[in-house]
This record gives sequence, C-alpha cells and structure tokens, in this order.
Amino acid sequence: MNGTKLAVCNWGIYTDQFADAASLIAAVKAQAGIPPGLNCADADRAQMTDPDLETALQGLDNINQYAFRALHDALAGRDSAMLHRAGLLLLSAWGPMDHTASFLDSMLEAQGRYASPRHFTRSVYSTVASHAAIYFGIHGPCETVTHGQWPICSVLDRAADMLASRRVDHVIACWADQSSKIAEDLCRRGATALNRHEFARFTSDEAGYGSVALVLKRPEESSPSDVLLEILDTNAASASAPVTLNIHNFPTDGAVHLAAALAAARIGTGKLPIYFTETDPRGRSRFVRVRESIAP
Amino acid sequence: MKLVAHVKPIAVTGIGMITAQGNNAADSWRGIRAGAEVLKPWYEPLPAALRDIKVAACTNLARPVDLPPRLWTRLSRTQQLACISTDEVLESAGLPRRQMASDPPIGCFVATTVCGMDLSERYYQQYRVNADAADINLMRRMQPYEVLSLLSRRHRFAGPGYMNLTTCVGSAMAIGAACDAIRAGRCELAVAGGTEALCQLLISGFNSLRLVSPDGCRPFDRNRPGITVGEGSAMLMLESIHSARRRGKSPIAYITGFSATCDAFHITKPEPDGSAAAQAMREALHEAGLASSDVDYINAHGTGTHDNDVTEAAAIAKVFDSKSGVPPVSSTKRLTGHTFGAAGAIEAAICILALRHGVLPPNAGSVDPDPQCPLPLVLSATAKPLATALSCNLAFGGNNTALVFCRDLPTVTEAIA
Repeated sequence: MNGTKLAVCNWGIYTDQFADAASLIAAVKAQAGIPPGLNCADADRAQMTDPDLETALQGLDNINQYAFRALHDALAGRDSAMLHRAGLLLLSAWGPMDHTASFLDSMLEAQGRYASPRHFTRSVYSTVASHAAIYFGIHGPCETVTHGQWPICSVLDRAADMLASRRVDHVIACWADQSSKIAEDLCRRGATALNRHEFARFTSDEAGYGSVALVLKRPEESSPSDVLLEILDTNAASASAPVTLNIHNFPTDGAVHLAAALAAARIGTGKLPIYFTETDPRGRSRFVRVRESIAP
Repeated sequence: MKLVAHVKPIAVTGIGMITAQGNNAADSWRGIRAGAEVLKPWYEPLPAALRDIKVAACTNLARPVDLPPRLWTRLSRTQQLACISTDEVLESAGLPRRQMASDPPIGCFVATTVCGMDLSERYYQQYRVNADAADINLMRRMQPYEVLSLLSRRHRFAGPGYMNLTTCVGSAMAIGAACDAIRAGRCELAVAGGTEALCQLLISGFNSLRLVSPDGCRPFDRNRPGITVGEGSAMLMLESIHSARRRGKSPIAYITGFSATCDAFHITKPEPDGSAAAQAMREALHEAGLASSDVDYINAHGTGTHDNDVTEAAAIAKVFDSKSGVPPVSSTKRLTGHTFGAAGAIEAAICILALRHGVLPPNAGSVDPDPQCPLPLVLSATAKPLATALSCNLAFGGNNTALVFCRDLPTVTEAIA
C-alpha cells in the first residue's frame, strides 16, 4: 500500500479550538499549543463575514455546521465548474448518533404508531455529505465512509484512486465529528466494561469536536503553491520533529494533526519534510510525508 | 460485437449472496428467475402498529462452522449475513477461508447503512429504562466499521479497504472503489459488496416517511404504493485479469465501467429530470467503451416509490434514445426487498447471473405499467443471450451509481493495453 501521492490545493478547518486555517497556522507558528482565548465563540465570529454561509447553517445539526465551515474555508475562491467535476469523501466516526437515539425515542414512545421522520432522515450517516453537496454544488461522487483502523489514510488512499480513475479532477476529503453525550457515555462504558481502551480517550473533560477539509488533486497536476502528501508504510517519522499541538480528543482528530502538518509545510518552518503519523488500535502506524510542492 | 473498454476490465471470479430468496447465490437466483413471492410479516417483535407490513427476510441463517455459537449469537445480524456471503464468495473464487501471510493481500470494500442496529435497538430499549443495567455487550458491534473489522480479522484480508455508508448506492460504490484499487495496483484481489439486516429503525423510519408498501412494492406500476424493506448480503470477488489467469480461474464476468454522480438537489427527493443519474450511466458506458445500443439489459433501482421510478425512467430515456431503443429493464426489488446498503451488490450479482444464464429476471409486482415510466419492462423471466448489462442505483441525498458488466472479456483501447 506504499506510495499514495496527492497534491493538496487548499485546506480548511473548524474545531472547538481553531476557527479556520489561519488560526491553526498561527498556533503552529507559535508552537505553543492553543492560542489563549481562542475558543468556539471566537470561531463563530471569525466566519460571520459570509452571510450566505450563515443562512445555510441555520437549522443544520452541529456536525453539518462544522463540516460546512471547514469546507467553506477550504473552498474559498473555488469556482462552480471545479466543483462540478469534484468528488466528496466524508468520514465520520460517530455520525449523527443523537438523531438515531431521538428517532428510537419517538418510535418507542408511540409504540410504532408514530416515529419522527425528521430524526430518521437526520440519523442517516450520509446526510452530512448530501447537505454539503447541495450547498457547495458538488456533482461528482459523494461517498460517506468509515474505517476503524485508518480513518485518515483510508480516505487519502480512496481519494488517490478516485483521482487516478480520472472521473474527477479534484477530491474534497472531509472529516467531521460532533460531541455527543450518548457517544461519550457509550465510550465510557465500552472502555470500562469491554476493555475497549481505544474509546477511553473520548471520555475526558476535554473532548472536542470539529471538521477538517482538504482539496486534493493529482500530484502530476500540482502547482508551486500546493503541498504534496505521500503515504508511507515504513517508519520514516524519525526524519523530522513532529508538529506538537495540544488538540482536544475526538474520533477524527487525526485530521487536525494532519492539518497541523500541512500548516507547518505551508509556513516552511523546517528544511526537512514533515510527517503525520496515524496509528491504529493495535499499534501499527502509517506515515504521511508532507512537503512543499516541486512544480512540474 | 467487439467491445473496446477505456479502462482495464476487472474479472469477477466469485459470487456470494444471501437474500430472502435463498441462502446462497444459486438458490437466490433460482427464486429470482422464478419470480417467487417470499414477502411476509417480520417475525421479530415490531411495535404493534407495524406488524402487518410485509418484508423480505432471510431465514434459517446457518452458523459457519469456524464461528463458535457464543460468538455467532453476539454478532449483529448484519455481520452474520456478511459472514455467510463472504464464505460463499471465497469458496466460489477457489480461495481459502483464511488467507496466509504469504498470499497476495486481499482488499475488502463493504457497505452497510445500519450496521449493528438490531443489537443497538435492544441496548437502547434497556438503556432508556436503566442505563446502568443495560447489557453493554450488545454494543460491541455498534460502530459501522465493525463489519469490515470482523471480515478482515476472520479471513485475514490484508489489503486496502473501507466501509461505505452511502445508503442505497453504498455497495455499488464499494464495488467501484475495489475496481479502482485493483487498477491502481493496491491489490490484485478484493472482496466487494454490501450487507444489511432488518431492524425496527429501517421499517419504522421508512414508514414514517410514508414510503413503505404494506403488501409489497410494485416497481414502475401505475399504482405503486412504496418500497418493500428487505435484508441480505452479496459479495463479489474482484480480480485483475492477470491474477485470475495466474490462478487458472475462469472469470464469471467482467466489470468494465463504473460511475457515481450526485444530484446536489434535495436531501430526500431525486432531481426530477434525472440528469445526474443519466450522467452516471453515460460515464459508466463510456468507461466500458459501449454505445447505449450495446446494452442488453438494465437492472433498475426501481424502488417502487413514485419519485424514484419517474426519475429513473427519465434518466434512462436521456441515455437510451428512441432511435436505438431502450433495452429490457427490470427492477428485482419485490423479489429481494430493498436492501439499502446491500442493494447495489445484490443487483450486481443478479446482473452477472443473468449474463451467465442468458435469462432476463422479471420486474415482479408490476401488473399495470405506469405510462409516466415508459420502459420495456421484463414482465416475466425471459431467456435471451446477453453480453452486457447495466446496473443502476439511486440513493437518498441524490447519489447515483452505474455499473457495467460484460459476459466476455472485452478488448481494451491501445492506451491502456
């Protein structure tokens, strides 16, 4: 599985800690963790400048809102023709789990005579990608996926294959998760009663939420402003110091670490390539080498 | 007819399938070809108000001998169905049930919509009463990726893969993704398909949208009352031509084209003119190097809802012009039920079996075809030599897929030869 290569044209982020790519870049520049005072409220203010986006966000669930904001950040300045020939890959670990619970509540309380269609439609995992496709005008394949071992690298692998097929010219990869009391409670019980240690980290007081989006294209079509990604299955991480940020735990928080590596590459803080590492629950790792583009 | 594909054809060297018609591919095909009526009320405890709805349920699931009873009963029904179809696809492809480290890595691309919802529902009912007393073991299979994890562990699939959750097109996308991974050289073989089990959420959810037919769906019929909820699983063994030849395995058929598009129109309704669905069909035919007049059979999504069937008929009409004509069309949803995440794979398997047997499967349930859907429906199973088939799927959120199958190996354009 070695050798997946992708060019990143742009990327966007929205989490409880980072309002947009600029704020993450600032944090990476500071190399001192989270900028003091930057919280979700600041994030809301930072993106209030686009009234169309704010209108679109009204009535949407949190997970949709996070994905929309990250995508909006990543797609700034992109034209509709590009999006018409783009695919979307969205990965969420928990998805809209609260709506599943609310739907079951409505069904059980009425003993089947009624169930909430609103909660049913919103309980579907692919709803987030569908809403995004409608708002941003993405007409290529919109795949909602998940992966227990490699939530980041499996999406990058699939994006590379979609681009290699030449059915699309760009792939927008998006990771999104919202905080969920039910999910956190399940994780707590799973970690203690089932020894599923991989769930324990989501139960801390600093559980986070958010979304990251990357705009990807074929590496042979990259421009000087792009950043190149290459997935390696061999241990190359010792080649450079990692970007270290204190990022709140949520299931797809690996995408935030990848974005931090992209930020570091964009800043050009080091002469050496920067690596993002993804480690599965069994301790096996895959490495993503991030480096500034060498224009063809 | 000489077919010239624009991408490398992918060999299909095995099929595994379990549906309401039968617990393996041969029995399922026999029932589908015969148009056997298998719908009946679900045997599981549904709320009283829903107990008369007829569904397409699988029966008498046989536990694979290598899975201990204690583990088998703890699996979600979605996982059980996937185990049965995966065992069959490996046997059909002449591969061991458990891969060795020295074997070429096999990819695994699977789709589902509800995953372990049957167990999650039981857990949640207990949780509502007393959270601390709820049996947490029921939630072992909660995460959607548990199907992929189980198959990868059980069969030692070491190749690439993912779990697709794009509802009714999910397993068609999984098949397309597996083909792409093989073409990209990530693996030489891949299991691809989907699995879905009946649960209260599915039946009650679609009933809440007023889309369920209590007595069974009637795709493309003037008086179509809605969908039939079903369950099942199908897996295909996909392989590079080179790998199949090296193993001395004769392919059952070839996948020569795939495409997926999105309407970007409405969260639940399809785009009425079907233009994005038509685009998916055109792109898949282009990959396969086929003109619309080369297609011998279309397996339509045909859910039996008003909007889906009108949109799909409009899309087909855009691709298959009046000059060349529309090939025979059938939806097999009344025979298998709408199996959501498994639908694309089950219908892919039906297309391949139709090519192999030279039989058009019937569009069961339609007695008065809707003039708004002017399609040449296959009203009863018909023997006919078939060389090519197109399988279409449409999904929630405006997602569309098209897969092209050929009975014989096409030649490929010089650029990719």
